Amino acid sequence: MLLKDRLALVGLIIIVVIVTAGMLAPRLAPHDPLHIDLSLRLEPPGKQFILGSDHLGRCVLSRLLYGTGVSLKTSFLVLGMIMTAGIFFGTLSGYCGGLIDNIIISVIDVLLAFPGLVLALAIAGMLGPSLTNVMIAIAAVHWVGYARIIRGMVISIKEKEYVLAARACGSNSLQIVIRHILPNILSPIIVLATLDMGSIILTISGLSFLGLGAQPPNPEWGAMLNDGRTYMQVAPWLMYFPGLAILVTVMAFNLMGDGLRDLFDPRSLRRL
Amino acid sequence: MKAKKARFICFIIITVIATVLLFSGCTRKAPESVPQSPPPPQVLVIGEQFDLRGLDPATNMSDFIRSLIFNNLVELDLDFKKGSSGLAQSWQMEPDGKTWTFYLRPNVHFHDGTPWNAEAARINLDRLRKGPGQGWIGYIDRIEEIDNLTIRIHLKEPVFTFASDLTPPFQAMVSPSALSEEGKAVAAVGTGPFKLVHWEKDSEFILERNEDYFEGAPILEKIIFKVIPDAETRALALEAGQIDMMSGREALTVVQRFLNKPDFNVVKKMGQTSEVVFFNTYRQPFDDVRVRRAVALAVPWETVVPQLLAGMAEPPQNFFSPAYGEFLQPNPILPKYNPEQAKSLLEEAGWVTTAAGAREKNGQTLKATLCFGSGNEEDRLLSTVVQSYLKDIGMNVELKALESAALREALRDKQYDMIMIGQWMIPHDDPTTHYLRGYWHSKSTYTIFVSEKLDDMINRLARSMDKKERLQLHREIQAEILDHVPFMVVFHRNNVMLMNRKVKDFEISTGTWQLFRGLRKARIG
Repeated sequence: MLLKDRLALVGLIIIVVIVTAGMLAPRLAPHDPLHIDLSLRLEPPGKQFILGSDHLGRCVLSRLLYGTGVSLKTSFLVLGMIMTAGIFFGTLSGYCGGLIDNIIISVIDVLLAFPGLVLALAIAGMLGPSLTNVMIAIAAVHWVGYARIIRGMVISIKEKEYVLAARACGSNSLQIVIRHILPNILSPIIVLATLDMGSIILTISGLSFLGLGAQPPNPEWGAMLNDGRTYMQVAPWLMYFPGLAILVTVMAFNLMGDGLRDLFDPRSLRRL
Repeated sequence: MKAKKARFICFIIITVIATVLLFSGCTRKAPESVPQSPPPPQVLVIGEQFDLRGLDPATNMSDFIRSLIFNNLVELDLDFKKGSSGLAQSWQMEPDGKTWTFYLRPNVHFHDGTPWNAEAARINLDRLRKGPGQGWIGYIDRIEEIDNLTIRIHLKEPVFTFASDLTPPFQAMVSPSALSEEGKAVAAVGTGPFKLVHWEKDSEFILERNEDYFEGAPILEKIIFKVIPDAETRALALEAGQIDMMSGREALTVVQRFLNKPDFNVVKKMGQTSEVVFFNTYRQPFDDVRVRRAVALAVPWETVVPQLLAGMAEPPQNFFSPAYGEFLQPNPILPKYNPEQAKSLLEEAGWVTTAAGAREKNGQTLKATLCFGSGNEEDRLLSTVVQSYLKDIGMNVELKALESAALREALRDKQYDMIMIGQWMIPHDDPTTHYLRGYWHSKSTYTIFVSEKLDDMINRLARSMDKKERLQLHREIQAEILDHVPFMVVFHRNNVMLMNRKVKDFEISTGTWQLFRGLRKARIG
């Protein structure tokens, strides 16, 4: 069915290409991404540097390739943190109900009321600029959405007959959650995660652009965009290529997320 | 099926937008035609990095605006020499160095009509020495009004640099009518070439010309300062014609772009300040002079600075900027790029290369943080370069961008291994205070490196009343400091002003804080 959805297929192919390129960066990159050669600064795209060189004479293509790894790795890690926190608190709240549910849902509602990016900015600013801190900041803001959705699903599933049957058979709560509830909410969550991947990449690049994320000399797309800003008019390729990389990656994840959503559960998730 | 079609259309639209954006940067604006007649209005719009920030020139007003609204008793001219443009026409030091007589300029009035006289001078100096200027002229014992236009100042101790100490813009003379009882300036009323007429915080402030200025009224009728903190945005505003002029301060990378544009002028002059990297001499690894020297030998500033900041800054030549001419040693010993020597110095200091390529000593790896100002484009660039060159000699450097207040704090509290920052505490033409109160005396603010020998030399300089002996001491102190490599000079900063071609006759100053003084003679042509 995925094969029938052409756009999702395009997304998938792009993602595969990008991930491969990121993993093989040390082999594919024509130059050392950190090597500074001031006699070759701001070279336009050409034979020596396929995508040109930046303001310190570093190869833009090599930096983009290494940056792929940085962006994808951090995004996956952030996603991991979000999922862990979201699933834990979502299930806890949804399954236990009562006072625990009340407390957790109030915290979630308060956090949801803040604009996400502003809160992430504040947290990252407080912790100090570094990629790890930005990951923590984004995870701290994003997990609430997942927790809320998971809570909703858990509440609807825990009244289902097979859960009642399991309970009648003497399964304890932990077994019920792990064997019967989690497997049933996992597929929609994966779809959601794919859809969200794009926005996480975008947020990380955004915070790096603002100087809070990756620190020099590490290549990261958002930071590369920011570095190129000063040279926008004399050397536009410093902004075009990282910008395009972000655009294409985010678009690919969104296309694939859309496709997966149609594939898995067309009715319940379209409303989200 | 419908949804899929919509998505396909979205995909096409995004692709088209991306392509359009890709090429939109290539179009060029036609130069705006400048009308020849009638005579253009004498209104100048300046894009400025900092807000006015306050009304008191001694405390909170932006350092760069003070010299437009106020005058000092003694002032530095555009070439950084004590001239006769101040509110004292001449002055005289008794041989003991403790008694100074100032002959004030006659027929001068503050913007509000209050006359400038001995009483106004005394009130101002009293306010400064007891309040905001205490650190600078707290050594004044008492002030005597001889007649309406003469004051005699008695000092507690001989101070050779007294006249120079009166020149920084924070020692400005404010109308006595604008001073509150606690000695704060509550209105910006001075004697300067321009008057403050409007101020909207963090947005804009407007100055109008002082028709009665004692050196003749300026040609410009009005100067509008628009506050634009970001250098790149200022540059775009200049190109778009929204502002006529901007300072290249902390924006040298932006200035480079304008060097070859026919519609714009770049006015520059070697400034008073330099950019330096201080080492923290109190903790590992820079408590060892060999490590400091190794780092200083590892970066080829002679090639890096011209390549990155061509024409905007000079590679290290001396302890201070060449603007300090006679105070400098003729042949200073500055480290010259020599990575091999740097590596062997590190080996000598016990930092040996391990299998992994890093250097270690007693199980610790050789690493250091380098702090720099996050708003400073050229320092950001150069820090990355330092990081790369130090990697070549086996030192791992972590970069830390700090806001300007945090950077100052880091310097004061010694929260750094290396810190790239401007060379301060050289507010006027004699750099004595730089050693004594700034960095190199055990009682100074930042105590970068101190020793008894150095203290002794600096004390002798502070007491000396003989010009020739003083110059000799200046050079010896600099040589003594350089010998311990507690810092390395990164570049000597040019003062740079970017302007539209229609701004004529602007002359820039050597003094950083007097940057806008040249506006008195500028005109729109």
